[in-house]
Amino acid sequence: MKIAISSTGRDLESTVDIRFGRCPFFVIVEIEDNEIKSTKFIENPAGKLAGGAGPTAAEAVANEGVEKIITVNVGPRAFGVLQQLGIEIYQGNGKIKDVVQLFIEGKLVKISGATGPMHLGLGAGRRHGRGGP
Amino acid sequence: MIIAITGGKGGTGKSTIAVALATELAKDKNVLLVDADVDCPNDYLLLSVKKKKIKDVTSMLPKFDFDKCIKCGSCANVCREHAILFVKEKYPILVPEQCIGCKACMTVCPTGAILEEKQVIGYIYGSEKDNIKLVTGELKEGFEESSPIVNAVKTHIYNEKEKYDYVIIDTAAGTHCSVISALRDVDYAIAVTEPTPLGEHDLALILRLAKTLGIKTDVVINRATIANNKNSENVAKKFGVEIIARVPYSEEILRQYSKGEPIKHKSIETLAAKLK
Repeated sequence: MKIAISSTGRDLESTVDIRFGRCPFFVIVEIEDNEIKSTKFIENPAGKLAGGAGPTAAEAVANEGVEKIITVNVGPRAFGVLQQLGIEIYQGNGKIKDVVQLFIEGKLVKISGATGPMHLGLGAGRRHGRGGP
Repeated sequence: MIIAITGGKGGTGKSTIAVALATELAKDKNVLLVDADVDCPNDYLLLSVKKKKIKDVTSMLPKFDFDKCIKCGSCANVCREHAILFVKEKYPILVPEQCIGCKACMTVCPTGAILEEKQVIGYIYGSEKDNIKLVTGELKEGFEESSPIVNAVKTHIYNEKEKYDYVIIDTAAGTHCSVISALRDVDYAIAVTEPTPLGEHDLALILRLAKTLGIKTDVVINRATIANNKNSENVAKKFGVEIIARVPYSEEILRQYSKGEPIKHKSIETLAAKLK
């Protein structure tokens, strides 16, 4: 089974990025028999989009064949798309490798709704001042 | 005469000046005020009137016929708004809030699997106060593109505009698509600025845009008394435009503003007189 984790960096020592749509990287981890079989890092193509980051990020991880994601915050649009794709969302924060271990042990909580409003991942400026996309 | 009130920087007092000017002109003329700041229209608040919905603004929305869809992904590939997502071997997924109704997906679909539906993307409201008629455009919450609403508002007033002596279009801040849509086809524009470094910077941007669009523009300096106007004057000079009014920063004006009344001041009277 493949899972994707929103990440701040390109290795297992990096921490989970609290934003799903606008994280810079995704770690794709393949788990077999409760062990990490392989890991891969992809750049999030949606990280710098003006609008629609969440759904585009969801599309990117789905195209990697993942069945579950681990992150902290998911916006309403990304949530809707992940749900349509049948991808489950788990909440986890901290070092990537610790979070994966917690996931394997079944200690992460599955989330069943968006955790924040749209554009949360854009930071304090949100879209203000940038006009249209 | 169609006049746009614009300015580049946010918070310079575009709406305040637009409402004050409309109120002044309406003393003896018929005025149509158009709130084209559709992301957060608030002229109705400044006029202290309620807004009544006239109609919904709709846009084309694709609907997939999954019996015909061959999961080729062409629709998602052509969509520049990322409103259609495609995952290998799955049916395309639509994100309606990002769709601008351009129909590119319908055009490229090889099997005719995309049908045409409609979605509401905004609203047009009407209000009245004395000789002023106010038309307000509002983008539906959660939607991204504001210029289709501005264009819909302008289409809506198209047949009525001859009935008025003045049509005043209050634009959004910035120089993006929605402002360009609002400025298109106006006879004249007033750029409202303030004597601050940001105000001067954005004044140059909006004057450059107006010049590009070929619109005769003049400048109103709001809160003119808070600082030296030299830099604003230099920007105006550089673009060959005139400063036609200076509205001071005064307690009298702030009192009117805080009571929800359109501001009355001799600088506004001078401005209105120059437009007659």
